[in-house]
Amino acid sequence: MSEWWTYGLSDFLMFSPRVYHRLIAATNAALWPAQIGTTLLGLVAAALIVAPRRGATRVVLPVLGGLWIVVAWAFLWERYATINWGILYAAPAFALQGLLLIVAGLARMVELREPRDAASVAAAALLVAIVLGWPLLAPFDGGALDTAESFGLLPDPTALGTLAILAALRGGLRFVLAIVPVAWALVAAATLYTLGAWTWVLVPAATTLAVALALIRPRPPSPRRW
Amino acid sequence: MHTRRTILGGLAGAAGAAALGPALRAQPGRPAPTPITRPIPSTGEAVSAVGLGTWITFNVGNDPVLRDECAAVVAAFFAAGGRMIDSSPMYGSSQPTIGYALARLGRPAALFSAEKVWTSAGRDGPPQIARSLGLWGVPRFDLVQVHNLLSWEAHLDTLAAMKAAGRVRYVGITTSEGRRRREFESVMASRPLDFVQITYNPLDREVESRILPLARERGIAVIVNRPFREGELTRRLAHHPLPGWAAEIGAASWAQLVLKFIVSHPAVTCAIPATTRVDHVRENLAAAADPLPDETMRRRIADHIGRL
Repeated sequence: MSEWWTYGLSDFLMFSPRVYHRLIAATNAALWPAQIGTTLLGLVAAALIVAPRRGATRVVLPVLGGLWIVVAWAFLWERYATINWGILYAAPAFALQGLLLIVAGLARMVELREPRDAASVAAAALLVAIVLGWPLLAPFDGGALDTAESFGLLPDPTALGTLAILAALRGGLRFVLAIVPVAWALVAAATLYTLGAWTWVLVPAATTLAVALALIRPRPPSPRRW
Repeated sequence: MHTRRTILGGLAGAAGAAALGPALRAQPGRPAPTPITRPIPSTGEAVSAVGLGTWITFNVGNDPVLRDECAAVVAAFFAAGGRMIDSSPMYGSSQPTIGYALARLGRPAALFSAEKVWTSAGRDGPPQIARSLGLWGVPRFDLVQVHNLLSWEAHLDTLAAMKAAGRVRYVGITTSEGRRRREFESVMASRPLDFVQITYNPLDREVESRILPLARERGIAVIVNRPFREGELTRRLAHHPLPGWAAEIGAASWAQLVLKFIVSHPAVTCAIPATTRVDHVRENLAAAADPLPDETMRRRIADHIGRL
């Protein structure tokens, strides 16, 4: 692209806010009542972060991976790509992310931090906030309730919720698993900003918080003084 | 000047409008307005001075409600005497939306189809144009333009061959917001073009110094995109009262004042505002009517809007 400095974010927005919101509403209508199920799955994941069980990641991550594949197909490929040709590239990335999460979980390449630490509890709280709070942003932003975006079915809360879960894991692979969610968060923030939605600020805020929590390492026990 | 094609097309558009609902029918006692036309320099064929753009507005995906709204806009456009509809493979689902609207209207003969080729590989141009034809549902395009000068050398060779074979009637190039201006002028000066498409409005007037005079000199028709800066200009102007002197040239709104400014430039052939609203498309077409501003009035419009 020549003279790239002459382009602004608005030059890349090829649809109106109305079209985007109706797209989300159509997705919600088609998938209802899956929203209830994915919300419960998100809450169960938060509970497992706070109270880790043996082999929890072998369940949490494959289920999360399945949700990424659902988002890739049901929203990105089937709907969003019809108004945004760039999504033709994002949908395979979401599917790949789903497969990576499934493999990482089944092969136990990452594990929940045990015993839980403050960062894990904060990550669980962030996950609950995203799972329960993100759908409420639509009415707060002046939208209809049917444009609520649910974790596990629409990409923004799914990516942010995934980052919160990754923040509660140990193992270097968690940073690899964060690449696609962070990349999507950047896209989501830019899209919401260009659409004129104030909620865009929450995307980098949640992303930064999740990455910061992922970088916090439990302090090693201090040597005893006799 | 009206040809048999434009008259038949207008009738087809009116018939389509009637099929789409009473809201689109001409009001009793009020004949449909007849927009002024401009000749395409290379052939003399007349096109109405206001067309219809589809960037963002027609990218509605598979939403049946929004597709019907776009079809109503197209019906109103033809009923008001419009001809040129412009789109691009870059515009998401705009092409199939146009195809849907044209099919509902029975493919109005008045249509002047303006498409673009937008791909970085020259060999991908012909299949892309073929795909676009299928999405519009037309046998051939009236005009195919090289979008934003992307791989223009290869695509202009392709389009020249298509024109020679009768598979496209006109060829052109596009840019927006003054990008690649020097290269644009160079192509205008060196290659046989029927059309150029550029950005022009009372605030974006750089093309007045070189591109518009060059178009007149070379006998190239000019399509004007982003007349309202994608709506930002009219939204800004809406906070200010329309000056009383706008009535002297029959402008009843800021949109009409801006369009009259644009189409009154002697090099301009057609402005292509985009809209999702039937009342706006009627208002836009109605701006293509006499009286148009003279040079003094054009300066007054630009100065006034520039100060707001």
